[in-house]
Amino acid sequence: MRSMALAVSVVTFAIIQHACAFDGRITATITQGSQVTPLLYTVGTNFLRVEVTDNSRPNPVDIVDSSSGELILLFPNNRSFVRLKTAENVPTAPPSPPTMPTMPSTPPQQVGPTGVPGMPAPPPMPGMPQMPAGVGPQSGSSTPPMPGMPAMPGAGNGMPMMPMPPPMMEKTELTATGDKTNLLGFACEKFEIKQRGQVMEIWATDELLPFQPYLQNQPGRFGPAMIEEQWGQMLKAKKMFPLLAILRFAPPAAPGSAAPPPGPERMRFQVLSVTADKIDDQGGDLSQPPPDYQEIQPLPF
Amino acid sequence: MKIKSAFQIAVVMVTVLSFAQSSKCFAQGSLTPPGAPTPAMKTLSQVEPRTPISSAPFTITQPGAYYLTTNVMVSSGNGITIATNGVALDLDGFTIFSSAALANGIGISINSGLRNITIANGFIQSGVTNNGSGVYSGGGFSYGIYYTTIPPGNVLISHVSVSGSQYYGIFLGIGDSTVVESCTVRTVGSYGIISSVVKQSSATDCGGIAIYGAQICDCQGRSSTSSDGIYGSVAQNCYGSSAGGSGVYATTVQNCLGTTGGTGSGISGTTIQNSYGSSINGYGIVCYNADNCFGTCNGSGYGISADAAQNCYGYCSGSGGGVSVSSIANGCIGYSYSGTGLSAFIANVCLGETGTGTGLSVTYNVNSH
Repeated sequence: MRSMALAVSVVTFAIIQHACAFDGRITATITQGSQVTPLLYTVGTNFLRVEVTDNSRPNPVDIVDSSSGELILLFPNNRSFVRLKTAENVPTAPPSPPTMPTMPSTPPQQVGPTGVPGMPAPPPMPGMPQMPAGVGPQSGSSTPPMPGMPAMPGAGNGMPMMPMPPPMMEKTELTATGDKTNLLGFACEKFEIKQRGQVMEIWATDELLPFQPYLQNQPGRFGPAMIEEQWGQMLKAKKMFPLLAILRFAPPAAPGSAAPPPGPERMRFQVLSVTADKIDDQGGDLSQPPPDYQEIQPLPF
Repeated sequence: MKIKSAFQIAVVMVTVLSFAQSSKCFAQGSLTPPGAPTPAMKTLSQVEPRTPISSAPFTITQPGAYYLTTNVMVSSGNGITIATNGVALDLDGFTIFSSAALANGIGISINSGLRNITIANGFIQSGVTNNGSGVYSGGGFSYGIYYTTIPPGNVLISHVSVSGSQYYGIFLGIGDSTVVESCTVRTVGSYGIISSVVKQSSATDCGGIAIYGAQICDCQGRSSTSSDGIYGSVAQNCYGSSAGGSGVYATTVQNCLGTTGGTGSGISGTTIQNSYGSSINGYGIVCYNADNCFGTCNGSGYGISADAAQNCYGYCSGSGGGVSVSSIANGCIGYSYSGTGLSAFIANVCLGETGTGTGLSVTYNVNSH
């Protein structure tokens, strides 16, 4: 019995090691409308490199140090790069916009010199005049209560309640649906994200590596975070890699009616091939910025 | 006879007295000079209290006012280095060139942590170009105006034009009182203008963010890559464009125009008013609150996507949505060619239309069609 448990442990450990130690290449595409972006993931022992294989434009290249989590964004267009520490490349806590001077929370108690000999004491503020009842601001406790709103006609007779809109900045969550399938030989689990009238279906596996969404710019910006900017980090947090992800319009349902079918696709991420291979990076060409690249400052400055 | 003689004597007396009086009025001083002549004119330093600069490289080590007397050129490294506080540098219409074969150095370098610097009225020019595909290369300066290590404070840059730098145009940081006013930047490989306040300025053909600041007004920023055209806290009366990023990206946006190609957003922010945003496959306008806005997309994006929208018009000529509001749309119009014209949780006096898709998709409809 003890040897049985030991064997199971060894097999489990081997499976986990195998899962965490994927080396090789993954090709994928991101399709948004008429724009198709081909991606290449190169997974080495200590690094992950994500780049666009369409060379019609000099697209940025992402290099992740697997041990430290540091992200390097290479900009071939001007031979520069920026290093982002772990906290800077995860947009869970968006940075503030360029700083504005902070306003004092309360006005200063007194402006100008104080305690000057011979300085007359400032006159007291005049009291609030007693306005006629119902006219202007009322002082004291004699303020009459606001008149109540007249009852809506038909209230209590089936009049619908005032609808409560969904909360602002609704929390976006990655929800497992329980569905499972096999894609490209990998066991995948289905997840969903819903936000702002859109739904994203994701089939992801834990047999490859934690996902790294392709970034063209420094992440974690202010303003509303779009579902396109969030889904990758959510999956990364679960240490899963998507084989297929589709973002669709999801029109709201009218009260009492079934949800309408999802609308047309807005975005699709699809893995085309997964090739296990030992990546040779002896010279650091894949995992380090080229020597003639200039390091520039990261945002915010 | 006696009377006549007396009269003649009186006339003679009056004439003599008159001469005596007049000769007294026109009396001259001594012909002997009072002493050696003394200089009455101003000194050169009084006439022009500024220090001339006629060649580069030049390092300013003493506070005061400086001015260029001619165009200056370096073959490598910095043009002018400001190494002390309290410097006013007037380029006086002249140009600082670099002929370096490979871009290096800074046109005007400000040493670490300096205060009270003014630079005005001239040009910084070098030879970096864009090959048309967004690749920047060539010789000259790496940076137009830039600092070393610690950002400077109390800095004003005005009426300066920078062109052809490999990385930054005018970069002052945003943590302190830095102002860039009435400046232009063209063809730089990375950031165009970075300053706390940027006004009445333009940065065009930038490989990174074109204009970045806390307050940006009356500006134009154009990025040739996936970086943003305008990026800041407050953007007013601005035009931003990007090849793939956001045209304008700011917390508060008023009276702006933002356009982007690809999947970026025309304008992205928290509150957007009186603005127009346009995108291909991304969002024309995306924000928490949109007011009096117009947003368009051509592909699978949205004309306008917001938590709340008032008096807005969203248009999508593709499969995307015209207006998508997660809570309340008030007085809005949305149109989509094959997607949903207007979708909202509550639509109040709204209109949604479509070619082949769904015109209006709302949970609670109040006088909307």
